[in-house]
Amino acid sequence: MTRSREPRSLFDPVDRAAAEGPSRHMTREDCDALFKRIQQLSTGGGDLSVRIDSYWTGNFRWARNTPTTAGDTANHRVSITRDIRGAMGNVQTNKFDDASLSLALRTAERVIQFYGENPDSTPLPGKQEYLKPQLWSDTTYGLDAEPRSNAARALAEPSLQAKLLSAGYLEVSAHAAAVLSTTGMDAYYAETGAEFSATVRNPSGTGSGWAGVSNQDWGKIDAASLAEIARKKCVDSADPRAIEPGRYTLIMEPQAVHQMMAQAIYQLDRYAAENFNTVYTLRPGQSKIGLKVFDERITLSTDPMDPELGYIPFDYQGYPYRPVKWVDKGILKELSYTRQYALSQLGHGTPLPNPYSYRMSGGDTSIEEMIATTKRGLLVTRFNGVNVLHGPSLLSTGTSRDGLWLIENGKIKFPVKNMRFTESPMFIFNNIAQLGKPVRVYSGNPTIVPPVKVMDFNFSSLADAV
Amino acid sequence: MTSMQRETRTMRTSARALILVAGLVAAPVWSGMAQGSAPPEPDGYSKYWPGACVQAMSRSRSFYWRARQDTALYTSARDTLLDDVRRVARDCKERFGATTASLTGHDLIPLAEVLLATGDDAGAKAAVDRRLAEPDLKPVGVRAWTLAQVVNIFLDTRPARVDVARGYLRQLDALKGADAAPGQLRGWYALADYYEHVADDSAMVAASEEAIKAGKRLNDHDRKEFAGTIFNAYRNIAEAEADRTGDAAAPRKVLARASTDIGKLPRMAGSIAAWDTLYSRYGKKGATVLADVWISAQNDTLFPKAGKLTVLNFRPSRWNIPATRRLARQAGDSLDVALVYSTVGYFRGLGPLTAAAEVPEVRKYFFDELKINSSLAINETKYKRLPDGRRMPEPNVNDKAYRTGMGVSIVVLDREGIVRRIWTYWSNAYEPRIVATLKKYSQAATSSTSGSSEGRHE
Repeated sequence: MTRSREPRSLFDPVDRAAAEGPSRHMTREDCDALFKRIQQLSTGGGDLSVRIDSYWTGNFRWARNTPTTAGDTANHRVSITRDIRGAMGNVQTNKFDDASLSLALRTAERVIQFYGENPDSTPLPGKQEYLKPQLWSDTTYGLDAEPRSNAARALAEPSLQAKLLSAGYLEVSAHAAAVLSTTGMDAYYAETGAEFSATVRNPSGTGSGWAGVSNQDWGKIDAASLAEIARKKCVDSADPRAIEPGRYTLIMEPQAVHQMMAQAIYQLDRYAAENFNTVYTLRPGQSKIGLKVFDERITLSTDPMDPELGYIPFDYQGYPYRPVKWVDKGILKELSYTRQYALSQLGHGTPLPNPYSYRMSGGDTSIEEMIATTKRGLLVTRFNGVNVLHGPSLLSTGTSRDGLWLIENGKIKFPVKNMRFTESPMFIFNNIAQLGKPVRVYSGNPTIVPPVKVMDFNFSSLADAV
Repeated sequence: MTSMQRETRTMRTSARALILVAGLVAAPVWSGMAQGSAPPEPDGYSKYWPGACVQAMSRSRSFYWRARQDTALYTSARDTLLDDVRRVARDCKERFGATTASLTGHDLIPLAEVLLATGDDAGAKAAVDRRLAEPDLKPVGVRAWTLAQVVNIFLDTRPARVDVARGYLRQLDALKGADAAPGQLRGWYALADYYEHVADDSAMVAASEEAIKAGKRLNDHDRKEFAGTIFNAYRNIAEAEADRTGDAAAPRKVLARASTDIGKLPRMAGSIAAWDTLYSRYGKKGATVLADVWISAQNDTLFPKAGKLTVLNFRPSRWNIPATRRLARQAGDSLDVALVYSTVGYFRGLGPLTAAAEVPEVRKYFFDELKINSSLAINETKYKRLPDGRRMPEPNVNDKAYRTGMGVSIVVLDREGIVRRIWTYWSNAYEPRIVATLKKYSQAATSSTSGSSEGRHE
């Protein structure tokens, strides 16, 4: 009787060459050549701009201690904009053969037929000067399928031995962005990215732990420690007790801080603040620039050259990102704006785009010290499903997740059942007790925030979630 | 401003704001409704319920907003549906038409809209009647609101089914009580809006009066909620009076009525006062348009001029230049047209520009590219800087004389230079109205008694 062969574990590396070379991401030369071809296919005058985004990702995902997906993907997209006297047409395609590019161009030109010239339109920008951050990591780029699977196996193993269920996602990527135009725009930059997150649950489903982080450099991600944190949180959060919802002193780990502060970062838009009712609107037609919006210990800044935070130094139109302090010592200093806004309102033509990457200032209090100085309060790992309920106040809701503990008299007493909150970042970040050291968190846009202890955080109901 | 105009303005703002993206992956896949994107297809959710199909129809309409502006389609309410809208509607009907019997509740009214767009009036009426027979429509308030929606869809399709809409309006009017009043207000206001766009002022006034009556039946909460609609009904009547008399008294009398009725409701006193200031300009001599720079096709530099009708265009743009050009050409020597422009510190994305640098750009645009055949007055806009760095323009002499903070677009002055008509917004539907106004005052005997002498015109 022939015995069927054992199925190969997905943790076992596949015997094939990793995807590499030109198929991973487009080089400067690739982008220039593509732009030249599109230019040659373009007819009818006017200007032409292309935005190229070229991604390679290598990933490994496991759930319930078992690999589920692993692979390399590459996706290259070009967004073609034709501008004929202010009438613009834009089409995207991911097919780069001549026929597809021609079709895209003709489509963009067809769109223009419906629109006459627009005197208010901002013409395509010309050549810009950019900062040059260090965003490339050979360690990240070189993490092929085999080391990825080996790393993942090592991370899942301790949970397996402890009879816990682990899940995780490991991704490394390379991204090249280019904006090239007949008006002289000539931007190209490439970056690497890495992210890792691990969730560990117990078989009875009563305990859950999570840890994760993103970074340009895989070498700076201590995945083993993160996996261990997730495992420990799972154990420590098992069999939670229900406590009464209400206002608590809350120690938020950095991931939770980011989840609340991100809502405020998304709203940093000057036109919206002056013309609609956003959280930065003082009164119709006037923003809160110059006014205190957060605790004076909070400074929110962004800088493509920040060695821990760096990001591609231009936006989707090719306008350069520049260092900016949105909030300085609690006072709103700047809101993002477009070139059109700059021209019409500020008397200059330099836009201030928002990269959504930010650094939040912190303090020197460790989470342990925050706990030790708390008479009664809660410690939360992160939140889930954070949604804004009311734009003008940023009142938001969501639930705690992956570990919530009661603190009494400076000590963690026991895990508590998750709760839903109804709270605004504008309230809690004006009600800060202590701030910790800022660290990178798990986020699509590079983000550095500290752990924060806030007073009177409003948990509004129990949530039947792990 | 009618709701349709407001809607159109919002649409324009949104279109400018949105990022222009259309998808093209394996084959062209359209998405979005923004300026610069491609026409939408009935895809995504519209495969699953007729309401989304109707949204796709609306997106098709809004996509062609500029085309409509240029060709005066849609704004007149007398045209037919655009091909793209029909195509989407046909597609929707194919998806849902055969399963009409299985659709219930909120799907029936969108289905009626789809059927109307494909010319299936009987099917549309049957869908509406089925909806009206459903038990959840028994409460008067819900029924009234649904009937108002029904009135709207029969007026909103092309050509508008006015008789059918009026039939449902009768059903709506038969409902009793304050709960029915919001629906009745909206229903009658929709009819007034339609008549405004087909330039039937007497019917517009009658429908607006009915809307006002419905407004009086609202409870206190709803009166605050719908104060704007009630005011717009009054303003329809005031506009009709302004058009009829070309004088201040009649429209201001209507505003006085409005003030008595709704003046104490939130924000209404300010709106009424602003329009009252605007109407106070009627029947008075228009001030001479002054400019830092005059650029003239005819070498004329003073407007208005005695003995000629005058059109002042305070918002010269590509939207109204073709109509302005036609007016100037058709009226010949009997009409003077002036475009009145204030510098803004940039032009067509160029900037920052000084006033001296902006003028040649403005000149090039209007004369060389838009080929205007009228005079162009350009004033440098003085401004202050707010503490947050924003430029705060100050009204210039022409703004103070004519615009009064109301965003005036077109002003018509008679042969004695007396203000006879002011439009605060441009729509191509206004062109025939402007032509009619010019015709009226070109034929009218000059009346030296109707104007005051407070203007600076000599």
